[in-house]
Amino acid sequence: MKLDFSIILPWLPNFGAALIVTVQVTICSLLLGLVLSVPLSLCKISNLRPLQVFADFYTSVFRGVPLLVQVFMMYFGIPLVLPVKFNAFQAGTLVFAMNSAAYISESMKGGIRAIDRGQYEAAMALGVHYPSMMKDIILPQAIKSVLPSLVNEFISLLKNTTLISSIGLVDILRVGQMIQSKTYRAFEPFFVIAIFYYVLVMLLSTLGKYLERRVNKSDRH
Amino acid sequence: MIDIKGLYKDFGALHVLKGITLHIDQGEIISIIGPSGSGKSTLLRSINLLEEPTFGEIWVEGRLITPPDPYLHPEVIRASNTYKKLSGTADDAQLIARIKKEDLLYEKHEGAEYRRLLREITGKNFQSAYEVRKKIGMVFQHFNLFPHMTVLENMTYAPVKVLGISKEEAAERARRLLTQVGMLDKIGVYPSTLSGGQKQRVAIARTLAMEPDIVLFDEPTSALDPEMVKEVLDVIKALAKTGITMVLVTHEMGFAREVSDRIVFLDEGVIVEDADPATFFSTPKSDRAQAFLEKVL
Ligand SMILES: Nc1ncnc2c1ncn2[C@@H]1O[C@H](COP(=O)(O)OP(=O)(O)OP(=O)(O)O)[C@@H](O)[C@H]1O
Ligand SMILES: [Mg+2]
Repeated sequence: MKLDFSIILPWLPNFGAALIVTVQVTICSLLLGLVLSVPLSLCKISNLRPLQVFADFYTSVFRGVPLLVQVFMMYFGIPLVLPVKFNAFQAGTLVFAMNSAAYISESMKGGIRAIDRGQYEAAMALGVHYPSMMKDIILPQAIKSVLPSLVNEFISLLKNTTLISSIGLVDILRVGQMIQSKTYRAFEPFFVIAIFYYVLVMLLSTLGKYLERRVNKSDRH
Repeated sequence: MIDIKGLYKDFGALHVLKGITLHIDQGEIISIIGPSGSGKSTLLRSINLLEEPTFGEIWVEGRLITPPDPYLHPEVIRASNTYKKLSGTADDAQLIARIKKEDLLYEKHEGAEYRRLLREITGKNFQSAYEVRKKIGMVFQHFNLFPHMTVLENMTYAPVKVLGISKEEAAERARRLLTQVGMLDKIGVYPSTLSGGQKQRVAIARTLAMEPDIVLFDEPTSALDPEMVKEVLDVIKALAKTGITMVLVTHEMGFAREVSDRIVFLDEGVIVEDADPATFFSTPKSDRAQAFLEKVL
């Protein structure tokens, strides 16, 4: 069979629109995940046993259940038992964010643990209350060590967002399927998509390695 | 100003402080010295509740900062079920002594009157750790500056957040104190660019920015290269002349002798000597203090 990449050209506008969807889902999930990871990591380092148990259970659920099952659950399952309704974008973003929170909170926990006891003691000796101490002294330092893993999380989110095509959102993968069904050609569209993701992920991991070096460097006082 | 009564501190099975009683007056400068592991830091850190005492009470400026210790209040012991059960077996003084010695009180079983008396002591006198820490500053061996904040931010953060003064006033205060410790030219830099001596001078200024009545120092020069010790000691000496109350843990004997009003010698969790510096360094009474001084002088 002869390859003909020119069949892609008429679909470029669709790819453009789909790219926006992919990027939106990824960024929204990452930001929401980051926000959720803060209380989750605070539960993990808390002295209160019930909070720890909750946070560990949360993490194990999102690690233990296949992502596609989670997506189907959120989109098809939950609205049948709870009075909520999600469109595909919301359901996907929510699932990805909750997943990211599980992962990011682990490295956030590590970041918080790595902070010298003296930082807590100095804050306490100055009369700073726990919430301000965490918000202004501890977390800003912990976030720094979380940066590299945020990039990794961004990468896996970017790849995982292809799952939302299965609940009908038109992302890049979905455009590939549309081309396939219209033109009966599969190699060209999926090859282009594969290259696209590969290049993007390589660029991002370079960024991640760069950040990791920066973080390690500024650790040396 | 500071009243430490019958203070005990255990870390699990390790008994670090074993009945410390110490009174510190307003404006006094006290140096706590003693062998490594004798409990100096633990004692110092109890004063601002970085360590929670196991038994005993600490009073700061007339306010109780620990839970009340029933063993320190005979009227509370007398109200306990344990006392009532044992009464008749010995006279009052012996009984109270025995209950203390054998640690016989068990809060849950001592009855309503006992608990009411303890609550009353708390209600009348208690002050939370947060309130106390506004009045007690602490300078650490390892400075503990906040690395993600500039010198200025390090100095204004707590005064604004905790004392509620305006940013402008806090910045003004910071400039005045940095001038005092000779660090004004570093006001905009991050701590990682400073030398150890400079960091400690900033840390002292940061503590003073809270305008504390009392400053605690835990070996403020032990982490410094020798050539930087003097600049920090000079700052502390100048501070000692301002009439502020200071409690220092230090290994710098010459310095302790020069600035202190009193020397407290701690060994194995008990105060072995408490004397003025001239007496302590020339004629220590105990063998343990003599042995210690021979080693360090
Ligand atoms: N958080 C803790 N948990 C368990 N043990 C502790 C803790 N803090 C201190 N200790 C122990 O308590 C004892 C007294 O410690 P402390 O730091 O008060 O001694 P120090 O007199 O300050 O000694 P140094 O001169 O070495 O600083 C030591 O044996 C120490 O190991
Ligand atoms: Mg010590």
